[in-house]
Amino acid sequence: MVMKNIWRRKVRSLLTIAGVMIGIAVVVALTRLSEGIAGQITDLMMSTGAEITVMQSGIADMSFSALEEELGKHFAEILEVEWVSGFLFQITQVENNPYFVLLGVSPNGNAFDRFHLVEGEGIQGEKDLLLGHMASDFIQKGLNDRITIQKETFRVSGIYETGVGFENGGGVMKLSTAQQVFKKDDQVTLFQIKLKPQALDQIDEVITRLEAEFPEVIAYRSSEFAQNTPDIQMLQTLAAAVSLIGLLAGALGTMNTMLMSVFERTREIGTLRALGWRKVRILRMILAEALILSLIGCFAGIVLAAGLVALTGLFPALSSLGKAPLSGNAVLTGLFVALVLGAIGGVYPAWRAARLRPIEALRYE
Amino acid sequence: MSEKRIVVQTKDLVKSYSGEIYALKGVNLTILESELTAVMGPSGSGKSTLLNMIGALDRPTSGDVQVAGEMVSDLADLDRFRSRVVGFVFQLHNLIPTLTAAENVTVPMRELRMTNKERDARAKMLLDIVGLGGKEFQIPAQLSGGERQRVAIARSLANEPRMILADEPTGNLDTHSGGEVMDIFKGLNRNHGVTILVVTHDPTVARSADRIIHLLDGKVVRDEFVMDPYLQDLREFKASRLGQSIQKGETPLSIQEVGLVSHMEVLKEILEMV
Repeated sequence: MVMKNIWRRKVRSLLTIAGVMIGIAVVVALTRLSEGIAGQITDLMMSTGAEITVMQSGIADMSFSALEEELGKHFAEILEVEWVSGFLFQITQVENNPYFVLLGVSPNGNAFDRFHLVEGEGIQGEKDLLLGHMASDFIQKGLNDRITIQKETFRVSGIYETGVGFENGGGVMKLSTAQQVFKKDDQVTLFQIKLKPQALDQIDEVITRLEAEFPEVIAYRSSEFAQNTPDIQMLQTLAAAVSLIGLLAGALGTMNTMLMSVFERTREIGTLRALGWRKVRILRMILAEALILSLIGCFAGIVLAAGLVALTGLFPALSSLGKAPLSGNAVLTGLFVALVLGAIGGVYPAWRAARLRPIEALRYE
Repeated sequence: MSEKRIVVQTKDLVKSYSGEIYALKGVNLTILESELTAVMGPSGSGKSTLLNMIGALDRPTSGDVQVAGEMVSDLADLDRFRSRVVGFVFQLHNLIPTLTAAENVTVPMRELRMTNKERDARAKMLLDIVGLGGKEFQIPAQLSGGERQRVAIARSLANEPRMILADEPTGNLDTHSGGEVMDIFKGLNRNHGVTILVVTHDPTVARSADRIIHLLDGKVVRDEFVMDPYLQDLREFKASRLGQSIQKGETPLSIQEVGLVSHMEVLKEILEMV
């Protein structure tokens, strides 16, 4: 009976499903994207094997972090530290890619080792650049081709791949070269610190000492860096806020549909009550209709979200986000949200329907 | 003959709205098991209100309503009462338009512990009783007005109620369909002993019942058992001038002319029996 009631007003049901679908798609897609971006950054920070990542304190966006390169030498003097490597992180336009992630990497530690070369011999000179394989495909540049960055020309001396989408969609050059190109002399965006094997259980103590001795920095475990950076937190908050708006729209749409459905079926509900149906059965019927509409919208929304996430493939630095399947967390979030939507959208109409007095409902024109 | 049980008993039943408008002004009546009773009256006489009181669709302002041994006026669980004790037939059949005839019949059964198979079997049986065998899978839009009302009658029997309450069941039907509906009620009453209370303003419908309760301005003004029509004709003949002459032993000219003089004694005996 519930399914027949839903199918009774096909267009209205489909529109309600569409509203829920969009709300769920927004929630799931934004959850996936923010998870994906946080995951990419975590992968980036952990790919060197360094346990600690240090950036400038008091800034909202990691890319604005600017630390004196000299600080690295002081960090290296800490007893527990095995090596320190500085990175310069820049987003710039290269060819037809407006979101080209460029890393300037210092030669310390194994920073360069993880860029697994699939072509070429690597960086030889100051004007050499390594290109991620996804970036290479996107901007159609290969080994020994020339690329202009900030009006300077570089030779592609190698094509690499790592497990990190940001890196595969961008490029790498020597730290000194990047500092010169972007006019950030003696500056790095962040430091990565590798501890000695015997000090691996002292990560938190080292972080505390670093922050105490160097108040201009903030340090995190590399595995927790993404979750703690203000820009990721802001992204997640923004995602939550936009999701909430999407959810409210979906819930209001569902509630409107169910209220109209209850009004149209007033006499029918009166008949059911006259035939002995209890209030709770009426309530369950209306609520079930709302939940089913929401669940159908949820499954459609998850499919739409997968499509939206796949659109990130337009940007090579984000394209790995589109290739990864929707996480279980994102899908479960969508399901939970759909149930909440259905409950919110259906509970008031269901309550109204159950409260109808049979005698009055039977007289309803 | 075993004594019939009381199914409905009302005592000083009053229903008022806002303390000013009185739909019922102290109704006292008793309906026995297996009676087919009609409640007649003009619009505003309180007949539908009386039905609603008996069917626990509304509560009285004062007075008592007892149905099948339960004091309806004091009942806490009216839903259970409506599910188990009474069955309703409405003027506008009030079938669910998206459900088939059989599914509509099973609607009241959802409150009972029955399997789907049991419900379907009972629905089919009830539809057969009302003459709709073979139409279980048709939706109301595919049925005529009379057929829809028959589905509603079958639905009212779904939970084996103690009585059926029908509010103007032929009000929206043509004469022929209305007659068919009343024939079904009579069949249920005669063949299955179903107690039925029909509210109507139509004297033709009312005469199908065994008993007619006349309501006027919220009060019972007459409560009579309907006579057999042939017996009614004989009584009217007995009261006529010719009938009175025959009882006096006179042989009016009309009797002589049709050659019934030799049958005078028989005619006299028949009239004395009526």
